Amino acid sequence: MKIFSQDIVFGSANHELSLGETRENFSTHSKLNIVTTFGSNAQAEEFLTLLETSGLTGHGGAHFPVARKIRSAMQSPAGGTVVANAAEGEPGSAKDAALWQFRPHLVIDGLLIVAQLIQAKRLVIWIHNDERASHRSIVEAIKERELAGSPIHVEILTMPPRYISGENSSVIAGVRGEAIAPRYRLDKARPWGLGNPSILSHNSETLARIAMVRKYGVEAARSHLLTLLGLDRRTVTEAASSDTYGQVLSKTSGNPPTLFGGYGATWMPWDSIKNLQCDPATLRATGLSFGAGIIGVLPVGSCPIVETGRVLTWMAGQSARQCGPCFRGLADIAQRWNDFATKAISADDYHTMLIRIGLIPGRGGCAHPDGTIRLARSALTLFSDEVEKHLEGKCEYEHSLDFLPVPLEVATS
Amino acid sequence: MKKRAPNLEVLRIDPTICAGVAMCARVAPNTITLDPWGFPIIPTDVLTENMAKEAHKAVRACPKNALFIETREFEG
Ligand code: SF4
Ligand code: SF4
Repeated sequence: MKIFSQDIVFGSANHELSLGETRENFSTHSKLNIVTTFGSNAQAEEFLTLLETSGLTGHGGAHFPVARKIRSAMQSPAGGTVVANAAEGEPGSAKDAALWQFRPHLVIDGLLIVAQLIQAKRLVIWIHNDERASHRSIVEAIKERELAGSPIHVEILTMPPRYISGENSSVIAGVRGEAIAPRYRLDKARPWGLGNPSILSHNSETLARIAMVRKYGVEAARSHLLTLLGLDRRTVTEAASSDTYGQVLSKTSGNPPTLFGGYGATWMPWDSIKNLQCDPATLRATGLSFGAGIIGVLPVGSCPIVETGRVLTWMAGQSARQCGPCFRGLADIAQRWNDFATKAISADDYHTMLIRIGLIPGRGGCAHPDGTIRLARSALTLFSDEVEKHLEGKCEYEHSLDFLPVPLEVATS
Repeated sequence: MKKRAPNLEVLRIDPTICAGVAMCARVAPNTITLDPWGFPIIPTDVLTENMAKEAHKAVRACPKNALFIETREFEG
């Protein structure tokens, strides 16, 4: 059971250009007849069991079981908050934009369902203030519901477009009216925001899937949105869990290096990806992460070392500047990496960079530095030939083609 | 009779609070070292008796209250 009937294409720099689907309005959406209320506790329980059976996990990157998260929040008193997290942190990703611009009512239905289950009284949509097209579509969706006589009370909260503002504990802090930055927690396995009353934040795709499961049953949890990166476009496509990446990207030839998951993820050779199934659970079982569902096949003419350096620089700039190893450490690594990428550096300097890379993992308040270092390390492993060439000052790319989308740095602090 | 198991102590840091003032490393030189950026590297293992003594000193010395001791139940 898929959400979209065709691929949706966005421009690479912003979310304005989009081709493909037509936007649903409330009257077309209403024909689906998704029931967002529950007649009794037994019905709510039945739906939660269905969600559990479906195996639906969060689509924001952490892939926590959705039913378990909702159940934990149900332990707390009623009157909490449910947040639809539309703050897509990954510059490569466009799946949340696709959902809000083309299926806003589906996501809203998911939000209403979760609100019903935990008896929340406050509904929030959390979105970056530069996501204009999505924002417009959300406002329109709320208006459409009002005109149709089924008004909903949703707050739209906007914040500057920083990578870390979509991180779960940042969202919860922001909704509470506190500074938008990740919070440190001892027990990382426990969902953030539980308490009295709870604030529950779900990724936009997760909410859309919840609504789909309500309508179509467990099958609806077995598709996932991917964003495929191209030089001038990002294509949002929907893959079934049983599809292989090779089937989804059937035009890929040779064995190009491929960015798999997102900017806090890994470079992998295409050959080791193409036979994998597009399924978070299967990937996790083999030690891989579906991440945010981004796939970037490196085009000819792009130097993987230079590309990694561009991402490291951006990620370093996205630190919430709370933890030393993150904001000092990553900035230092990014600078050293760019020196290494663009001029011949000595073996000693290279060695120092490696040692420093090893000092960062596990020392931030959130997973931001660990993800950034994971990408750097996967580059060093996969591109060992290119590393050699760079150390000899013989990068074969005269001018590396910029490929991975890296937004202009927004002014910080 | 079983001997009462000792408490196992682990030193923890909230990195979002630590300001890199480095008082901790000064009072606990054998337990805490500084990274090249001036921030403390905290041992992740259970502390030995000598390290635990130093660690408690570091917890008291930290002006930001970024350090704390976690006690783990003895297992096995
Ligand atoms: S690790 Fe970085 S991004 Fe995460 S809380 Fe610390 S400073 Fe912020
Ligand atoms: S004394 Fe406290 S604030 Fe200073 S470096 Fe040590 S842990 Fe950080």
